[in-house]
Amino acid sequence: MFSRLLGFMSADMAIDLGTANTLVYVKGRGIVLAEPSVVAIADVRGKKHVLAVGEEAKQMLGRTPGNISAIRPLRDGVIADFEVAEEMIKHFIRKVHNRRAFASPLIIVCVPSGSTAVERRAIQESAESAGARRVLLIEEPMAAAIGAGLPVTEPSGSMIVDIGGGTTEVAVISLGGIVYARSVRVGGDKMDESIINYIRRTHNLLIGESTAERIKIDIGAASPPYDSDEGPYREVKGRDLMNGVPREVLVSQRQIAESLAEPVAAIVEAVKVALENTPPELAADIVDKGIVLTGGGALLYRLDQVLRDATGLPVVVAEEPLQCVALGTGRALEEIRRLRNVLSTMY
Amino acid sequence: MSMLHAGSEGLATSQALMSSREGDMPEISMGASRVGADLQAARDRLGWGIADVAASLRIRAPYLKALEQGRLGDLPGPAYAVGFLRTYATLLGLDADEMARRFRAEAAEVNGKTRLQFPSPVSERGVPAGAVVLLGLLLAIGGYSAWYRLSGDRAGPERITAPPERLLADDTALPAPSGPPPATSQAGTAVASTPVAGASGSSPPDRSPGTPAVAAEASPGAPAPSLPQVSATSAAAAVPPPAQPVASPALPAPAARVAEAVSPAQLSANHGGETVEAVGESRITLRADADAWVQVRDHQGQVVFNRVLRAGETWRVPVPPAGEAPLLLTTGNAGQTSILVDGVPAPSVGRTGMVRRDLVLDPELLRQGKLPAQIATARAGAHPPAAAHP
Repeated sequence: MFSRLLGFMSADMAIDLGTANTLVYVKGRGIVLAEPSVVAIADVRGKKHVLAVGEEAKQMLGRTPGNISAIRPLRDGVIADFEVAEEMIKHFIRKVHNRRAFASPLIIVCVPSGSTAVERRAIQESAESAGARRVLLIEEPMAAAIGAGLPVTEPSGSMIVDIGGGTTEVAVISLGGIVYARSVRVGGDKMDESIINYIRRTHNLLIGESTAERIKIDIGAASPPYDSDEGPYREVKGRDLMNGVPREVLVSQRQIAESLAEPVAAIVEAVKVALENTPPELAADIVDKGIVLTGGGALLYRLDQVLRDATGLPVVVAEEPLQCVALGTGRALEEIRRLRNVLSTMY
Repeated sequence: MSMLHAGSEGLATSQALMSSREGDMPEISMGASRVGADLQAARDRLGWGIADVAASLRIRAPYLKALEQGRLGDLPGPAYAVGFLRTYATLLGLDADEMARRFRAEAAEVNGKTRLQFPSPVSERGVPAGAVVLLGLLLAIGGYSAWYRLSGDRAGPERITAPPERLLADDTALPAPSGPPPATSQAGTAVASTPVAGASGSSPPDRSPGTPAVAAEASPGAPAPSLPQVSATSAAAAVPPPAQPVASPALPAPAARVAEAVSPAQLSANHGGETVEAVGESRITLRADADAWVQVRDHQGQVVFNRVLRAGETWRVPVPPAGEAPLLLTTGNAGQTSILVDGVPAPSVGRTGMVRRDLVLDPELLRQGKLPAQIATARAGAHPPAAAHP
């Protein structure tokens, strides 16, 4: 009774709680918030206070003094720091409700299909303790497929590859359910890491995560340019490992593509394994329709080409790949009665 | 190089076309396959065949043709159609976002949301839930109405043979609603009419024990309305001095008090309507002048009658079977419980509010007033000041 009253005063939300970015969809309003999943915590005389969340906190990432720590509460698609994740969700709820008190919304959160029960429970509980009236979970590939507009309820196979910050989800969906899903813990973060390692190895230069991410977005590619072309160059600034002074080097697209070869290969492998495990009838459908890429990783230059060459299937990038999961989760919120089959709860 | 130049020129013209179309909307339908035509033109400029493109993009040639010819029905779905278009446009060196935007503007069906109809199992229950609810509702209503009907007889107003006179008396009492003077003036008429009232019934001593019941039933139904009126006015008139205003003659208490002074026939006429129980051959009648709890038991202690007699109600005491001892009366309001023997009030058995137990209901003893006397003496012995008081 009381919770219903609270529900009347709050806007229901769908949250794409991603490793890299968190998107919030509010019922009837669409996506209202898209911010990096970063929380800056200040330590004031032994007590922890949230200093900033989102873009502002991301600016602090790797640039903090001793008493401030910028934390990414999610790693590999699941919660790594429970309390910080709770603070972040709380912040988003408050931001959406314009700091109105008594907000107690229904929240749908997406979880990686490969996450364990413990990880799902952690996500559900952090959303609940952040003030949610009720928490429902949706599997990420299903949300991505709905958000991409795939005909998931038809008796015809659709293959979706959602490359997020922490995980890559490959799933074959038919008749409103996941026929096969595979989740590998390779995503944007692993790509950044690969770039950092590559530059350290080849240039003896240590760069931060943010820098690596910027390079990836600017000139990252899944495969090197044709005809021994080096592609565009970018200057990278960091600390020289030999003499410890800051330095700047130029890296080419070919180099970055080389560094990304490993995570890209992992993604290709995941897709191939999923295709191997797809029932033949659905495989036949996928030959016709192909694979749909969503998530931030789908924006990696020429990734679709690499997958196309590796699988021999048509590969298309969904529109607004960054928002697909949030849109799909939001659609589950809007049509909660019709889509209740895809929603679950840990209790 | 020249081909590339031509391509960019084509793009420029198509953009010019676009901006001109934005001005007037009706043109859109005409250019339903403009995007397809642009794709085809771009492919022709590059000199590629459909098969080449299909091999490169792995998109099946029929789908590419359908895109070029604007046949959306042949494509696997809006999401895939837009995806194919973007891929194709990118390959051809066209602006994928721009082409997708135009494609959406041209083909309305692409914009619709994918219909999501999850397969749901057929309900296993034979009876639909709605019918169960309806049936339950009907049962509940039926049960309630049955209960209402059955309990309605019990709870309904008591059936009386005719309206009690004190109710009829209201009409006559109303014209003189206030003040003692009219009451005193009516007192005369009341006194005058007393004989008339008395005449209506048989004279008290002559009456057989059964007559009061007859009188009780007959008098309310009597044709002449004057009779009840008389008794009513007499009731009003004889109200003990000014204590009660005449405005309330119908109140049972004064009416009952008056009755003691009036003839028994009139009494039965006044209160007969309220007879609780009529048992033949009885000589004793209990009458409550005010609310009084009355219990009557036989000598074995079996309760014969036990309830509160409302003011004005009478109860005919049944005659005990031959050879048995008379019944015993316990009253919670001795002063207001009149015991009528053959219609004649017996001496009072106590004060108002006094509890009397086990009074022997023997007509002779009661008439002689022996019982009250005995008790009075007994009580006087027990509580001298109380006895001295009356």
